Amino acid sequence: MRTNQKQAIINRALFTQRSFDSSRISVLSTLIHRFEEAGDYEVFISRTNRTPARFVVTVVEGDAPYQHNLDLSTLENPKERDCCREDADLRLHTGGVLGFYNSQGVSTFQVRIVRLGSKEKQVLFNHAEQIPAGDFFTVTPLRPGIYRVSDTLNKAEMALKVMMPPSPEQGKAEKATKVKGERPPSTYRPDQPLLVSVGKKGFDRREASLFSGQTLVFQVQSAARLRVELEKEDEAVTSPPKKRPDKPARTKKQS
Amino acid sequence: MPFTDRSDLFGAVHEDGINRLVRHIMRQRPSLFNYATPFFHNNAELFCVKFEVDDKVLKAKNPLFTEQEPLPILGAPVPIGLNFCLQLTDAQLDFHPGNVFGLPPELGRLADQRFALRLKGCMGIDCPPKELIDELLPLIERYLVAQQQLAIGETKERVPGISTHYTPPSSAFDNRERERPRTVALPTRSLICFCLELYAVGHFEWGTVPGSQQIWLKTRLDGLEIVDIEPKDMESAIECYLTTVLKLGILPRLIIPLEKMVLDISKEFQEMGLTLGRTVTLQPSAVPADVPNNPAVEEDQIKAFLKLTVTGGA
Amino acid sequence: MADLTVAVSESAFQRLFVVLRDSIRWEAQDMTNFGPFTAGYHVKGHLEGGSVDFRADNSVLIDELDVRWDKFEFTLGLDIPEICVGGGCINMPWPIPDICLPRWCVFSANPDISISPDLAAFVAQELSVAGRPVVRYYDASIPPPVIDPCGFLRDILVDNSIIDPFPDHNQWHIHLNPDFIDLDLFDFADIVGNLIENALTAAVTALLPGGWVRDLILAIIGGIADFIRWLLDIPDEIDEWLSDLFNISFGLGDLLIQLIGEFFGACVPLIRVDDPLEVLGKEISTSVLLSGSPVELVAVTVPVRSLSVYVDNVEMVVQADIGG
Repeated sequence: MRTNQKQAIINRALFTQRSFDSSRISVLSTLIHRFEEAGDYEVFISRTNRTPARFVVTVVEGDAPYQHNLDLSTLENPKERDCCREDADLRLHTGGVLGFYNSQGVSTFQVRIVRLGSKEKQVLFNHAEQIPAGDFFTVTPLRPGIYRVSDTLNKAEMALKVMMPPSPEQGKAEKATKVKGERPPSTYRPDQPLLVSVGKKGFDRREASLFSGQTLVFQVQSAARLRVELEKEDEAVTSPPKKRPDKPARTKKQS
Repeated sequence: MPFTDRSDLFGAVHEDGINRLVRHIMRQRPSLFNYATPFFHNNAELFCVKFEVDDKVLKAKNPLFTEQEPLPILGAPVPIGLNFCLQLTDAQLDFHPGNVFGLPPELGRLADQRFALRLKGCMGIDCPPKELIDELLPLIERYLVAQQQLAIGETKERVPGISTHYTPPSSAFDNRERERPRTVALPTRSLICFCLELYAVGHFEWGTVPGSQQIWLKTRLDGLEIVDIEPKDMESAIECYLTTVLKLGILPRLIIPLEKMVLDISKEFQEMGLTLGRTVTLQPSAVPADVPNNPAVEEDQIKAFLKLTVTGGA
Repeated sequence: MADLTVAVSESAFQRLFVVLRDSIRWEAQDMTNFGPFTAGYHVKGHLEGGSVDFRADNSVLIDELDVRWDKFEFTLGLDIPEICVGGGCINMPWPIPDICLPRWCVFSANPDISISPDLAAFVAQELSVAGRPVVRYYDASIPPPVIDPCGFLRDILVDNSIIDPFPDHNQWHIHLNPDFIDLDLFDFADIVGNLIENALTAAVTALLPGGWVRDLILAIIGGIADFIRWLLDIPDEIDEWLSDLFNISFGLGDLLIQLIGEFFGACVPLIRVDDPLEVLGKEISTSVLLSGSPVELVAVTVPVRSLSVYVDNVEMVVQADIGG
């Protein structure tokens, strides 16, 4: 019997990410900024030791999409960009959002948005300092364990428990009800985010639980600076005890 | 009783089929059965027996007969001859029991495993009319005298020669070794025709040939009879001559070795693109081990019995 | 009594059948794209066993011929779709549209896997054919029908030098008209389903790094077995799916039956006899004319009439008459 497979590179950065900081966009985190007013805005994306990428966003009342998600890892390569051709603005509807994320690699990014049109450029938003009210910050932790979530601006904390999803054998009890051709129903779906509010009074709860791969969304109600750090890894999962090799019997030294 | 109760493969031809086949061959290959001088190309109506010819023979402009030199007029000083034709008009086979034709009493009844052959041959020879002979005779005499070719020897008188279309050119005599002068046939107006019937009886047998390791199928002549020749002694002499010619001259050439009767079936399949992986042959069943006679001449048929042998392979 | 009679005994036919059977081997391969997956086969086979029986009802039965596969390689190629975390949307109060979240995918490109298990040891079929000899007269002067289903098959067989083309003169044709052709459908046992599932599982597992990452990915895709079934859109039993693939989608069984049926039936005669039959070939003779000039003598042919064939318990007999 022969098996062969196409070389597909695994996205290792996903599995090594242990902490998230709302001032830096890394893999598994997203910054979502809302544009409340119509106008032209210049967006600067900076990356350590690299020239920032820039593009213009035009926010209008009329016919324009409500959301764009931008993969920051593609911005430097014009061919890979999913947005922002040199000659075209990004158009967004008033009240729409831009989502900034990084699909791969270990780089981190920062976003700065300046409003165009006034006599002097107004820095509307400097991601490195804080996330303004009305925006969102998301994390999708994979490593199971207990995470400490903190808002350094509002001096608030909460706990996040990330668990391994149930194994497929545990879902087999539902096999009987499966219809041919349908994806087998499972108790686990990565695309079911959990929404948590954070404001002057802190987080709306003391703790939250997620399955690995699901997303925690922070809805920022007043400016915040968020950090999520893995405090206690579930080593039973990530580092199962290794079986000790049998040691040969020692001969006693004659003194 | 099944055809193959004593063999793997059985083949038979009925005498009616053979005789129909012979008639077809006679119509489509007339030159095998008719022999005549070239004169008959433009005078086919003078043949002793009218014969049918297939349309395709006429379309292909095949000759209707095999050309022969005219019958030489022996002793004539110039090569002159007579037109003639020889035709085999009937050829029939009869397998035991005989019921296609009756045998002359001299040959008796057709015995077991015997076949009979009946041939009718007609010959027509030109008979020059008296007028032609009278016309030619003085020319012949003059030629003989001029050439001093009389039986009595030379004469004192020298008579000048003449040339006719019967006279070969003198150069032909110098080059006698290279080319014989063609015989010129005398003009023909009618033929004298006569026909004879010949009957023969024969059988097949397997036998050996000194020096050979295998067995051979041989055709043997049991008897031969020409009907109605007088005097009887002449009939007997001719019959004896023909019998001797057949027994010592023609039939020995027709013996067939067993190896020629073995059909290599695996080779046939190979030519069709299928390799059998084993050797498969068809060969005659053995006499008398497998069958009493092979071929068998009985029930108005000639029958062949074959066995299939598979050798080699896994 | 017929002018010509040829008979073959059942026993001779049986011996020849064994030799023919042992010499028949075939090989076939094909690959089809079904969209989410590609599937193909590479098969080699031969025949074993079986018996030939001449029957009193004028039929020949070839019974219980085993179709054995020397190679029955089944190739299945799957394109593994994206395996991603994250995603989903944040429900926003009306009239604000929902905000949809990005996903992070485990592989940089969609990997694909391919397996090629050899199922020869698990596949076996039996073939039985019964047919009657039938004589038909081929008249070369009549044009072929407008719709000629046989013509297409014959053209293929002629193009591949399997049979000679039909000639421009008349012939008698002897066909073996099948009464029935019974070929077992492909019926794969449970063990085959397990074999394939194990092979696919191994192939998918080989893609994944070890440890908790694998467990996570397996959880995302819902378990390999179900994942595979979902990809292939098949019910629980892989072996049933495989049988349908070979019997219906590939139509391998139908192809064999069709080939056998049409080969022996109306389209391709087993034996052909020219009419008229040539008994003496064309000949160039230099002895017909005194001058010795060569003459091409026409071939001698005889008309064949009333060709018939029948089978009884012990032999097959072909008879014919020579026309006048």
